[in-house]
Amino acid sequence: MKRFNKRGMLDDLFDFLFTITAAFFLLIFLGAILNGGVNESNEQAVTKVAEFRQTESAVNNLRIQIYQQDNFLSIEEIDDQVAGSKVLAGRVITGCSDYITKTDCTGDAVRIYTNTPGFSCDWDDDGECYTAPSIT
Amino acid sequence: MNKKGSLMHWTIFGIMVALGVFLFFSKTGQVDVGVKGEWSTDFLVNNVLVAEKESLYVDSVAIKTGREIAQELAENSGFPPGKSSDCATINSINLWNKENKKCFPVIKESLNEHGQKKLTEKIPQNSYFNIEFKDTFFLADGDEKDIITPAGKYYYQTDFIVDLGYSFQEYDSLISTAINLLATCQNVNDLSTCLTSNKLLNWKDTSCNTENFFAGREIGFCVISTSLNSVKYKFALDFTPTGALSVDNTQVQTQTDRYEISVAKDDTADSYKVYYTDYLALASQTGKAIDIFAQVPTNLLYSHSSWIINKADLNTDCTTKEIAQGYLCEDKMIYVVGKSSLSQEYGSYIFAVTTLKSGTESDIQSFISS
Repeated sequence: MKRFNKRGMLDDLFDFLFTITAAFFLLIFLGAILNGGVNESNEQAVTKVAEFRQTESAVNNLRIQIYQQDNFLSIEEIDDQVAGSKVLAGRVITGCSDYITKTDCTGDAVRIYTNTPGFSCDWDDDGECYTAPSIT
Repeated sequence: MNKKGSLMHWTIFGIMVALGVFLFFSKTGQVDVGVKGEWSTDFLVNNVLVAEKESLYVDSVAIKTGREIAQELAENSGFPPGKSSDCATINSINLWNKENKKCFPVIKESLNEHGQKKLTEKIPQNSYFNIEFKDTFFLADGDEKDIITPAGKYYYQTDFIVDLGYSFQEYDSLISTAINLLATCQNVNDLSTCLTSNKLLNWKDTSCNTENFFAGREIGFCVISTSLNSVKYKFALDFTPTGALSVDNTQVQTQTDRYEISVAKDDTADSYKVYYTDYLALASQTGKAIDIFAQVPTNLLYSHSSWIINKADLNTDCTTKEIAQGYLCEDKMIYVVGKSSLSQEYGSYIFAVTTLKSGTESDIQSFISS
């Protein structure tokens, strides 16, 4: 029968403790790394989906504009307007007609026409926002 | 250290080295956690949305094209641009009739012909077939197209269906109104008055603003669509009489021994026919003379008669007028009826005048009392 002496048993105990400690730090390290990556991945995924939804809403807004305002758009204009669309309180604004309050409309809240001189948003008597040649 | 202990130490060391390598490459970006749904969003953004934008562009062009087709057909009286009516034109406006001949446009044919041409011109990159206009909708079938990106291949149809806010069925009511107007005014002498009182409010002259219908009997019209202001129908109707013109505004001047019956002269008539009767119950009757005078009772001593005055026999010297003679005085035809020639010299009579042309007689429009 084989018998352990005291020194051998102590050696095994230290090996065991070392392994536990190393594994503990290793797992903490790995967890932190992987969590960070996953969070970043989630953020990117959410951003991409949000961008997709914004683009989709912008395309739908333009479709409504085409019907309601007899507004012909070239493919370049569609791209420009979709790219220039902005979000206001969860609502995608592609043109003046997408504003639903007078304050947002007259102030062009998301500055949809900031880079388009000669145009502004005006509020009509029917309670709708429309694109008008700027009076200023 | 025994062999078992040594293996344990080396294993731990190996794991730490592996971790170090992983961390190193993570930092340099060569090993990274992939973005969730990246392929799906890439596919949606780079394939589906691009197709959506293309579809939006096609819709935009289709609406513009549909409305242009409506405007161009309306401008050319419902015929495809460049095509003329078989009934000829006046001032470049197509006639929808020529006397009895009808040349109304067949809108379905015009649309098929012009719609295909316009779509090919406006969207040359796509080809369309089964082009239709149903109610206010403009629709066509298109080819299948695809978009290839690293995310994959996406197929989509280039069909479209757009609401023009305008229906080509407006031609049906327009043509129907034109037919009624022709039936009412074609054989009327005072065409201008007839048109003014019978046409619809939105029927204007060719200026599209005023209502001057005085030049000749081939009249150009402009009708602005009630649903789409940019659509202005321009067409002309020929009101050249197909039979004898009915006579309006008959006047009677009573003198001691005679009645002078006067009516506006009618250059198209071969002759005039003057009727009288003492059966006053006919005063409100209109229509064919033979039917009206058939109502005169034969057993109660009522009388009626008529005189035919040939245009060639009309006297142009109006200084003195003789009984039983016809006169052409300025723009009036006057016939003198001697009281002695009537059955009761001092009774009450009603008179009516018709015109005769190529063997046809106009209807009696009204009676005038002595």
